[in-house]
Amino acid sequence: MHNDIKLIYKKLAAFLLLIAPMFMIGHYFLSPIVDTDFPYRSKFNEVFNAQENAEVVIFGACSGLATINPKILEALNPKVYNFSLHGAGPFYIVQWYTKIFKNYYKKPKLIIISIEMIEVNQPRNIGYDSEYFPISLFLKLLLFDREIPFKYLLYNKYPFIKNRFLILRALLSKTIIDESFQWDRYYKGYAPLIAKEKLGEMQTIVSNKNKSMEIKNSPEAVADLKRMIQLFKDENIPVVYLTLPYYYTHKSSYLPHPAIQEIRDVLKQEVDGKNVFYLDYNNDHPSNLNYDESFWYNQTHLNENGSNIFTQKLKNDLFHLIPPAHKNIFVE
Amino acid sequence: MISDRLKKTILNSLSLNDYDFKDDTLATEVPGWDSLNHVNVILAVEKEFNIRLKGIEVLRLKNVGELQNIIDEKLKLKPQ
Amino acid sequence: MTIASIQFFLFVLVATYIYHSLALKHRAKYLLFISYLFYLSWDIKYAALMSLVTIFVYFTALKIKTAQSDKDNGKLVKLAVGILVLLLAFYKSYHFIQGSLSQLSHLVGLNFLSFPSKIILPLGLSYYIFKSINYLVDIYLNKIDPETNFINLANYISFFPQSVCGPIQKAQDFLPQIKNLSEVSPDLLVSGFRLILFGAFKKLVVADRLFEEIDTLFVYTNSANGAHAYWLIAYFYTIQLYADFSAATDISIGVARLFGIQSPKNFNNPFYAPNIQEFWRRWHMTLTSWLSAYVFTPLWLRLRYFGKFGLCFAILTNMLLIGMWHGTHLQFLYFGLIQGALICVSTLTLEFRNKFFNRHKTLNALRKYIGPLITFHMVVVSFVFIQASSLPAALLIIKNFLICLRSLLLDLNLYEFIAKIFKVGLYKSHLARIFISLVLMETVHLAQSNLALKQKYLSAPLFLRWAAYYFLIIFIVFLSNFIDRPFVYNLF
Repeated sequence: MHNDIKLIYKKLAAFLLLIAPMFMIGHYFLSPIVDTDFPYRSKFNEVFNAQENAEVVIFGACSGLATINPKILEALNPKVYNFSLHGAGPFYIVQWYTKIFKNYYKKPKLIIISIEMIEVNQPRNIGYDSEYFPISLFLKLLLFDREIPFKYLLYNKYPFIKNRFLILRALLSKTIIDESFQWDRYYKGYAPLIAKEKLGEMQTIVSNKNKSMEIKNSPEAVADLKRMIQLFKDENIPVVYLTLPYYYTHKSSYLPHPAIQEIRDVLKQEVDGKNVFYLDYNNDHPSNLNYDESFWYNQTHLNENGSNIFTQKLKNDLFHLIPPAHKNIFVE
Repeated sequence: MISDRLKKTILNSLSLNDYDFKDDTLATEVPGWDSLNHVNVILAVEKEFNIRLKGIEVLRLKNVGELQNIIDEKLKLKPQ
Repeated sequence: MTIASIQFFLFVLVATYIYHSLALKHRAKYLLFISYLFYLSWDIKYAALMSLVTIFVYFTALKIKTAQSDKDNGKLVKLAVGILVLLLAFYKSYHFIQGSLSQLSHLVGLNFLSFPSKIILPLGLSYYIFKSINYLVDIYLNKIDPETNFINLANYISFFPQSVCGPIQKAQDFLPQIKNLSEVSPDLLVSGFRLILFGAFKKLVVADRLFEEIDTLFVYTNSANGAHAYWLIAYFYTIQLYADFSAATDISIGVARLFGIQSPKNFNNPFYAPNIQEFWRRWHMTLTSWLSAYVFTPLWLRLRYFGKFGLCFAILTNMLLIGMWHGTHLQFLYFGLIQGALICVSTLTLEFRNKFFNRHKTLNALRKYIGPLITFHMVVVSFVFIQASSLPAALLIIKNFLICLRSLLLDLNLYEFIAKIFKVGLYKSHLARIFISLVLMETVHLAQSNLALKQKYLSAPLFLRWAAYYFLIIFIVFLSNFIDRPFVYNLF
C-alpha cells in the first residue's frame, strides 16, 4: 500500500477510536439520568439470574402487566411470575421464548398468555431489549442471528442512546418515567395502573369509527399467532390463552369486531383440552367488569381494583379449566 | 479553424455577444448551448448555409470543429 | 444491506483497504469481484441477470465494430437497444401485464403456467440498462471504441456504488478511468469518506425522519387543520425525496472515490433553479442528460422542421419517459404530463420573459428570488404524484395544498397561518429538529458548491474539521431512528 494512503487509514482509525472515549463519557453521565425501564430490567434479571424460579409464567403485553396480579394466583402455585412487557405480541413472544427464555430459565409448568387484540400487529422485536442482555447473549445475537437487525441490538444497548430522545427532557428535570403505573406496588412483574376518577370521552372499541384507530390483523400477525401456538405445542407446555376484558359502555355493543373474531377463531380451533386452553373474558365469560366504569383506567386497561377482581376470577377459572392430568401444576 | 460566418450564426442563435470558438470547443462549454438550444443552433446553421444535415451526422458531432468540417464538405458537394 | 447502514460501511472499509493493498494490475479484477459480492448479498438472481446483460452487451459491441456497413451497424444497435428496453419495460410494467399474461395462458389452455402477481424489480436494473444503452449507442455514434477487455466492461456495467441509485455514468467517462487505474490520491480518499458521512446524515436524519413525520401528518389530515397537514405533507414529500435521493448519490459518489473512480455530479442545488427547465438540469442530472442525448435530441432533430410543435412533442415525450421510469401507474403519467407542459410553457415564453424583465429593472431584482420560489412550488405540486400512494391520494393532497396556498397569498394573515401549522399535530420539538437539520444540510450543500468556502474549510485546522465530523456523527446517532428504511430509488 502506498504510504500516503496508509496515513489516511491510520488517521481514519484514530478518528474512529476517538469515538470510544466520547461514547464512554456520554454513557457515564447520561445513561443514569435516562434509565427508566424499571420493570423491564427486573424481568430480564429474573430470566438471567432466576430468583423466583416460577413454574407458572405470564407472557403478553402491557395489559397483562397491569391486569394479572401474581399475588392472587399464588393461592394456586406460589411460584408465579408475570413476564408481560409493553407491546409484546405473538411475534415477540416466539422470539423471546426461543432465543432467551428457553436457554436461561427453567421449563415452566404452565404459561398464561394474554393476547392483545390491538397489539397482535405490533412487531416489537427482541432486539429492542438488548440493554438487558448479558454480554455473551448480546454478542451471540449480534454476530450470528440474522433475524434480529444489527442496528436494533446496537441502538438499544446503552440507555443514553436508546432513550436519546428523552435526554433533553431529563436534563430539564422533567419526569420521564411512565406515571400511569404505581411502581411502588410492583410485585413479581405486576404493576397496577393508577385509578382514574373519570374515563372522560371514551368510546367503546366496537363503536370507534375513527379511521386511524381501525383495527385490522395483518396476515403476518395471524401467522405469528399460529406459529406461537405451534411452538408451545411442540414444547409440550400447557398454555392458557386469554382475551382480557374490554370496557363496553353498552351491553349490546360487545359483538366481536371482525379483527377480534379472526383471532378468536384461530384460538378456538386450536383448543384441545390438553395443552391449549382459551378464555375470552368479553364474549364467552363476560362479567360486570365489562360494564362498570369504576374498574377501568381506560377502555382496554383495568385499574388496580379491577385487576384484583379480574385475577380472582382468573384464578377460579384456571382451577376448573385445567384437567386433572395437569393438576400437579397447582400446589394445594 | 472556425469560420466567422459559423461563429456569427452560433452566437446569434444563442443570443451571445462573443465567444472564442476553437476546433475542440464542446457545446457544453458554451454558455446557453444546452440540449434545448442544440437543435436551434443546427437549424440556424442549416438556414445560414442553405444545407441539410442528417440526424445521425448531427448526433455524431463531437465538437465545433467537426460541425465546421461537415459544413465545408456539404458546401463543396453543393452545385454552385 | 442498504447503503446507509453500518454493515455496508464496514463492507466498504474492508473492501477498499484490500483494494489499496493490491498491485495495480489486479485491481480491476478485484473490483469486479467486490461488485458481484455486493449483488449476491441481495439476491443471486440479480447477479445472474446482470451478468447475462453484460455478456450480451460485450459481444454486441464487438459485433458493431466488425460489421461491414454503417447501415448494418444501425440495425444491430437498434435491435440490441430494443432488447434492453424491452427487458426494462417488462419488469417496470409487470404488474400491468401480469393480469393479461395469466388470462392469455388460460385462454390457450396453458393453465399450468402461473404468473406471480408480484415480482421484485432487480436491484438497479434501470441504471445498468441505461449504462449499457449509452455504451452501445456511443459506439455507433463513433464517440467511443468497443471495449475489448471483458473485465473492464463488466466493471462499467456492474460497478457496485452506482448500482443502487445511480448516477448513470457515461462509458466515455468511466472506461478510461478503469483502464488507467492508478494510486488513489489521499485527497480523493478523504473526500470520499466525507461524502459518505454527509450522505448518511441526509438519509438517516433528514429523509427518514421526514418520512416518519409524513406518516404522523396523515393521521391528522382528518382533523380541523387537515388542509394544513396536507400542505406540510406536500413540502415534506419533496424535501424527503431530495434528501433521500441525493443522500444515496452522495454515498455512491463517495464510495466510488474510495476506489479512485470519479463519478459525475447528479444534483446541483436544484431547489434554487430559476426556472423549471433549469431545475431538470440540476435534478438527477445524469438521467436527464442521458434522456436528452438518446431521446430528446434525436427526436427533436427529426421533428425540427415542425417548429415549436416538434419541440413540445419532444419535451413531452421526454418527461413522460421520466414519469414512466417511476412506474406505469396513472399517477406517474400525470407527473410526466404536468412537467412536460410546464417546461414547454416555460421554454416558449423564456425569451419574452427575459425581454420583459430587462425593460423593468426593479422587477428584475425581484425575479432572482421569486423565480426559484415559483419553480420550487411547481416541483412540489408535481412531486406529489411521485410520492403519493395513488392518484386519488395525490389529487387530494394537491387540492388541499392549493387551498392553503391560496389562503396564504390572499388573506396575507401569516400569523394565523403559522399558528395553524403548529396546531397540525406535530410536536414543536420535531418541527425544530427538522428545521435545524435542513439548515445544516443546506449549509453543507452551499459549502460543496462554493469553491472558496470549500477551500476555507479544507485549510482549517484538523481538530476543527474533525469536530465537524463528530458533530455530524452525534447528530446521526441522536436524531436518527434505528430502522433501516430502503432508499426511495433503490429498485429502479
